[in-house]
Order: sequence, then structure tokens, then C-alpha cells
Amino acid sequence: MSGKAFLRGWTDVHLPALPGREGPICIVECALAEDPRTVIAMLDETGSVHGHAPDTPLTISMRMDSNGWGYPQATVDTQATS
Amino acid sequence: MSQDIVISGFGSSAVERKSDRGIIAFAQDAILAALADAGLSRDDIDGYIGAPFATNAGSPHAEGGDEVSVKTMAAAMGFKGLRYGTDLYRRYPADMVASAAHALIAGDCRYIVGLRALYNLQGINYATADVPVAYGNDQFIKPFAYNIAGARFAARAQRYMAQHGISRDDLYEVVALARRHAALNPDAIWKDRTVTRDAYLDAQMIATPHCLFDCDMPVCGAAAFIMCRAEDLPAGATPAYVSGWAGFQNPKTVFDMSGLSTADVTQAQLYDGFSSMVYEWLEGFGFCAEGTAPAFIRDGRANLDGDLPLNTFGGSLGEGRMHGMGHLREAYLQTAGKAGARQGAKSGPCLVQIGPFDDSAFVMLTPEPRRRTSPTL
Repeated sequence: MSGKAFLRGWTDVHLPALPGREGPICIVECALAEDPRTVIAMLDETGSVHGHAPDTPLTISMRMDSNGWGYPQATVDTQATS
Repeated sequence: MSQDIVISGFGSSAVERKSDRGIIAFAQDAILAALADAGLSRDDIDGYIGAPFATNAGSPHAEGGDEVSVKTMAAAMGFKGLRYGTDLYRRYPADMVASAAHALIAGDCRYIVGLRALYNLQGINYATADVPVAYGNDQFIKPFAYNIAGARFAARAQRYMAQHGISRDDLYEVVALARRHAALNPDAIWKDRTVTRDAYLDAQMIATPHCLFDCDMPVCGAAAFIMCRAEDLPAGATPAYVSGWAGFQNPKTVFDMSGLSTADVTQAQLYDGFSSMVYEWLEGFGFCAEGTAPAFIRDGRANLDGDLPLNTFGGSLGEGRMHGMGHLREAYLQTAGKAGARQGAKSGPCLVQIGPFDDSAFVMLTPEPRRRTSPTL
């Protein structure tokens, strides 16, 4: 699949929950463009809940964090939104 | 044999933030109070329905620690004559009522007690799972901390708020409503504590848009009910008729079974583990149009003297996290005319919804018997 998705829901979790991350971390529910399922991802490192709109186009990709752990991360697809 | 089923008594333990007393003691208090309310003794009880499962992410699921089963409670209460006894994995009191009704209609037992107990263990982080492993669905959400503190409800709320121009000022109105009603509930954990708008807006954030006050407070407490056929109503007990129920995600059935519509409902007890949840079913049932639930609450229509009094005991947000037992108890008290200072002006059907947007169960209580319609016969 292409990794293209749309923003379904989003929140900043403020409780410390991940090793090596103080938070808040922005977690997004992504509706996949080519599949009826949704996946959970973190918004890119600078992300926060502010300023988002439902159904914003996203791109999901695997990224390695500073701990060496891989997570699916979502970035706003600026090409699709422009 | 009558098919009319009633709740004939209800009892609660004290509700405490933390406690040195164990979960069994709270459960015993609740059952003894329910027996007294119904005018029965423990020797009358021949049925038991429980829902032990602790739903918080940090639960160790310890029998006698933060969960309590029929086996433990039968021994603790000295129930020697149980002909029916079971625990539901699905932990909604609405499902307990439905299962109890099935047992009574089948003639399995005559007086059945239903119990749900919650416990906020010492030394445990209630809302987060500290163990560094995940199984099943948690494998896909725990790495993102999405299994804690209602994050998935917060994400859904965020979308709703963006779609309809709702702000945290609106969520505050839900919390303020809960605190106003909790002030009339002597059992409520927040009964003596109002919250100002400024304090709410400055409160610690948990999962945006929810702050600390948007989350129900973990507590130690238990509640229990007694059900029987109407013809077996103990002398002196006041009934609330169980006129409809519906299991997983099928609210239409509760109306079809009871022959009632939303226009007939005089009160609603809607699950509010997180403040934004009440929007879901106010709109989901059709009490108000999509996107208008915040205005419904802001305009006072959910107040005790409003069009549709909502969570008149303070809800979980005001009473503490009794996980739906408070909602069911309030529906019983209001329907039976026993709600005291918070008794609603209108007597009539009271709708109970328990659970989140994607996993709810429903009960309709009425002050008079109604002919239930089976959804399949």
C-alpha cells in the first residue's frame, strides 16, 4: 500500500507512557486510503493536536526514534492538501 | 407465571478514593444494603449475577484484589442456596440486568442479586499498564500509549469538536452539570466540590481535549441490586419494571421491546467515563441533532429541571468510576420515586446506556409494567 491515509481522530497524550518520551505525544487514528481499516500512528515529531482538521491527507511511514525503536509515523501530506 | 420483571432493591457501599478496606468488604456492604432495601435476607437469595472484570489498563486482575467473583461472594455472603450463579466477562450492568431477567423468566431462580465492585488498588498506576509487554489488541495500540486514560475517546472527541466548532468551554459544561447533580448525591466522591471554569481550563491535561476533570475518578466502591418477578415483589419493596434491554450496540431493540420512543423517555442516565461520551448517545438516540448536544447541555436542557434530566446523580464524573452501576442505581431510584432531593419532577421511563460509543448496552426502566415485545417472536 502507498501509505496514504486520512486523519480520522487525534489526541495529545500527556501522561508519560513511552520509554524515552516525556510527552505530550500526538497520536493519530489514520483511515487508510486503500483499505477499510484504520491504523494508529504518532504524528511527526513536531506534531500536536492544534490546527488539524478531520480527513486531512496523511502519509504513513516507518521511522526510527532516538531509542532505535521503529514506529509508524504520520505526516501531513502537504502535496495532497495544497 | 408473570413475565413482568422488576428491580426490587438497590444498595451501595461508601465510595472512597483509596481505602484500607478490601474489595470484598465493599461488595458485602453493597449486597447487605440491597437486601435491606428489598426487604430480604441472604437466605432468600437463590441467584447471583456478577461482572468482576476491572477495565482499567493498570489492573492486575486479582481475585479479591480488584475483582471479585461469584465463588468469592457466595462464600463471603453465606449464600448457600444459589440455583443460578454466573459472572459476565462483559462488565456492563445493563447486561447484568438482561441476564438476570433471562434467568428469572426461565424460572432458574426467584431472587437474584447483581453485583459490580470497583477497586483502586494501592501502589498501582490505575490508568497505565506498566508491564513492558503487550498481547492481542494491545500490541497495536500500547506502543503509542493509546490504551491509557481514554485516549481513543479523546481522539474521537477531537474530531467531533473540529467538525462542529466545539471548544473545551463546552466540555466544561458537561463537568459542571455532573458536579451540580453530584452535590445532591451523598455518595458522590465530588459531592462537596464544584469546579470553576478557570480551574477546569487550567487543569492538568490527560489526553487532549480531556483534562483531569473530564475523566471519572477511580474509586473503591460497590453497588448491588435485587431482581425478581413482579409477583414475587417483597412486601414493602418498591419496584422499577425492567421494560426493555438491548445488548451489544443495538439501541433500537430497547425501544422495540418496551414499545417506547425517545419522546416517552423522561430521564436518561448515559455513561460518562469521559465527558465527551455524553454527546455520543444524546445524539445517537436522537434526543438532539448531530452537533447540537453541547448546546443541549449548555442551555440547561439536561438539568434536573430540564427537558431531559441527564445523569441526575452526577454521573461517573461526579460520583466516581462505578462503571455504570451508579447509572443503573439512579434509574432505579428515579423510577421507583426514591431519589430524595434529586427526584425528578416527571415520573416515567428512564433510559440507561452503559459503555462507550462502539460497545454499549441499554436498559429501560418504567414505573408501571409494560408488555415487552420480543425482537424475534
